[in-house]
Amino acid sequence: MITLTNAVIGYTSPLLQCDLKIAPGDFVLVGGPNGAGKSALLRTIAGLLKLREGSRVQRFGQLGWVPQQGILRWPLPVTAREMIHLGASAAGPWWKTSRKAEQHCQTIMAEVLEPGWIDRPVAELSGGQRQRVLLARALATNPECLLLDEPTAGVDVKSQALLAEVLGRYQSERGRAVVLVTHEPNPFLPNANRFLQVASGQLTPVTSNHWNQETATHNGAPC
Amino acid sequence: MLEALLDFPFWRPICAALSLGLLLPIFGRNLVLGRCVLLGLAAPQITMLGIVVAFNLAAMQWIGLQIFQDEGKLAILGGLAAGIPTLLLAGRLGASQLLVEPVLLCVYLGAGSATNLLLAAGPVGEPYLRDLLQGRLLLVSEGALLALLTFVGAGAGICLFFQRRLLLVLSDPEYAQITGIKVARWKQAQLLLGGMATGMAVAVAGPTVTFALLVLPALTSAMLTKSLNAHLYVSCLLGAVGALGGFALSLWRDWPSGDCVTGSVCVIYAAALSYARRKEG
Repeated sequence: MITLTNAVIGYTSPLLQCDLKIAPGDFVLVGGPNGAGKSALLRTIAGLLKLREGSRVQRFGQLGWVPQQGILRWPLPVTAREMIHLGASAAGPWWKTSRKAEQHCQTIMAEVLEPGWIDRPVAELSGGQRQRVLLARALATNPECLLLDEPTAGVDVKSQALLAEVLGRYQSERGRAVVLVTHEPNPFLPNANRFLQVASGQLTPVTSNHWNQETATHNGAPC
Repeated sequence: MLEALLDFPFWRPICAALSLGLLLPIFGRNLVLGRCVLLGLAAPQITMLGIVVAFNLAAMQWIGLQIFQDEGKLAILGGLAAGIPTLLLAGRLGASQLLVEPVLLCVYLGAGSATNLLLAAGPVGEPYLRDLLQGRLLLVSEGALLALLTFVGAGAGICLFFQRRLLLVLSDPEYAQITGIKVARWKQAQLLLGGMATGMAVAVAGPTVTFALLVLPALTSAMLTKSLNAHLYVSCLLGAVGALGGFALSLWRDWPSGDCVTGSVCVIYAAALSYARRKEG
């Protein structure tokens, strides 16, 4: 469980004020317009950004992090397989990868990636393929809570559907928590059981329909 | 057999060139991955300044430095005393490239001009330091070679032993932090090892050779390879080929060995760049 109490979040005014509890089994969709503080909220939940006020308590063990795919502009060549193994190594001891962790990596790669491009350099992959590599890397640590920042940006519909399917399975079968930040309507709606909107410095719980409508409005669709 | 090998007049410079060419790219790879290429340029220059300062302090009969009558030992002391703190301090500059790059450029230029000014004002140990600026591989002593192999070899071994964690921390510090890794400590450890290697390498082979072998093979290899493992092997191979090729050229033409090594590493880089451009179409 992660709890934010009387939290004040953000880089610049208006700051985001919120109380938030994320429990095992939650699938939380966070929406809102650009610059509202969605990513700042996610980074605070992850522990990357310090709270301006309030407190953060983390009772989950391992957290998984799927950043925006721009992070994949590595200055060195790296294959999808190497990147996932490196990511998985974070969860275990630094000197070795256990057989169990190795098997888990193989399972995740088979589930999320396609064999044809596992050994290709990440720089040569498409946006959707890169996003799947980032998701596989996060899942390889077997996290109790998965945090995703705009995972559908620049991703085609087919890859979006696969991401939704994998995340849905991860949450429902293993009872893990997922927090997903997005500013566009997406295929994760059927998986989600909590919907939050960030706007005017407030974090508001909304219904699925309201969330979808608000997100469509932010993207310029007619109401 | 061993005696015959030890009688061979160039075994020390060849060993020095080979070990620098093979081992320095391991540290350079970390700098490239951590997006700190300019640090690889600035650190050897500051280390050289440290060596010049150590010579001047020794000439002023400062307590403690009088015992270092041997110029080689004095250079190693000055190199380590400047190289290690430089890299550790650079690690504290912050993650913002916009801030770090101009600072490192200023430091590089400032250290270069301060070195020349100090040499002009009081030419203490000038022949030795001039040799060092030209890359004095031919003059490497047995003691210096042993120290080089010990420090740089141990540092490279530690880097390789911890490489998975270092690669993760340097490539994606946020991911590493979220998964519970103490990112700042790992980065400081990597910079400490890099400072140690840079200090030793500059004291033995000079700043230009150190920069060339530290960063250029890793950058060249990045254009030619497609995986992290291949990148490591090709970096070390290119470093060794550049170092030995440059040394052979210096013997053949009777040119300064450091400049020949630097030149050959640059030629390899240019050839790889041209190949990569042609391949891209």
